[in-house]
Amino acid sequence: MSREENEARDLNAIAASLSSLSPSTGRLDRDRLMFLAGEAAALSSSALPNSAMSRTAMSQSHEVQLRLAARRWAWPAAFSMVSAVAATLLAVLLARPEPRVIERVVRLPAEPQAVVDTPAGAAVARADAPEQVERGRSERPAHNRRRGDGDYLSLRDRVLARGIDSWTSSLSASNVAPPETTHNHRELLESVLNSL
Amino acid sequence: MSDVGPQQLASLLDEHGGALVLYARQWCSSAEDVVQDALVQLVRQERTPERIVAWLYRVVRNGAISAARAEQRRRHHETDAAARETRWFTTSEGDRLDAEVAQAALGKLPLEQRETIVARLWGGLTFDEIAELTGSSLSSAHRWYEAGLVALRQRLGVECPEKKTKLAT
Repeated sequence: MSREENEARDLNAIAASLSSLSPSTGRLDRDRLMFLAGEAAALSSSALPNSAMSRTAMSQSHEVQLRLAARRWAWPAAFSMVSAVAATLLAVLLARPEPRVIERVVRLPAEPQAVVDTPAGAAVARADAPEQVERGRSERPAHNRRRGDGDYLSLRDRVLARGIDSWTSSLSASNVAPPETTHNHRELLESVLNSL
Repeated sequence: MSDVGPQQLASLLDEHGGALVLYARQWCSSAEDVVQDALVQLVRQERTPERIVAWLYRVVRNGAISAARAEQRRRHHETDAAARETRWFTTSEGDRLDAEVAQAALGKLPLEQRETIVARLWGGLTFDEIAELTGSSLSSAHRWYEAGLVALRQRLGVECPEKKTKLAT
């Protein structure tokens, strides 16, 4: 008998000896296992639609499931709807076109020409004593100062636009007849009525 | 639902329960719970597996490995003590080997050899099924089986043929 055959026979013998030992089931509880298996089988059969449940029981179960599903989805659905509305409003706000600029020509009554100091005198005064000029400006009331500045600006514009002759003509005109100043619409209305 | 009824489940438990518990003990100390979960999982299956025993061994193997990981995380001393005191085999008069000695010898084998020997000897699985179960090749399953038996033969006091020949001469 060869060595391999002896060894194989010996291994079979030890395998047979080991097989004679019966494994212990330990703490495996047969009753508990059968209970759990029955419970699992019942749960599986109730989850399947083709089970042996009666039609009434199935319809009741279906209604209960629908009710539970509706209750479960109510808040998420409301939240989704409000979120969609908010997103739509945001999109509309972002995609809104810019306001169109409409230019209109508004004709206003011409402001009366105010009396302006002579530029030469002002220049001399500015050259001689600038501090006094500044002090004099600051001592004048605010409304007069503002009005004088406005006259100066209008005079400057007029000189730049029409030349130096317009300054002298306006100076002579202001010396001849100072126009009446109207401060509001009532005075303007009265002046118009008086002129009629 | 699975076609496994109470009678078939009971017969599976009688025929393979002990072997499955022994197989799960190669990894974890809560082997009974793992086997119980595997059997309950079999009942829950919508379609009955073609090879139920091989399927059970695979489920038990996965569950035992998961349980072993959980036990390693807990590292309870009580678990280790319980594992040491657990008896793998029931003793009877017809046993050719001492159960405690066999348990000790089996416990000293490498995991692959232990797993293969338990699945082959007590589980009755073929080497193809063992190879599929362990994710190895057929030759590896054969090699582990034979190496494990040789080691057990030496540890259980059975002399090898070569020594017998030398002693005879």
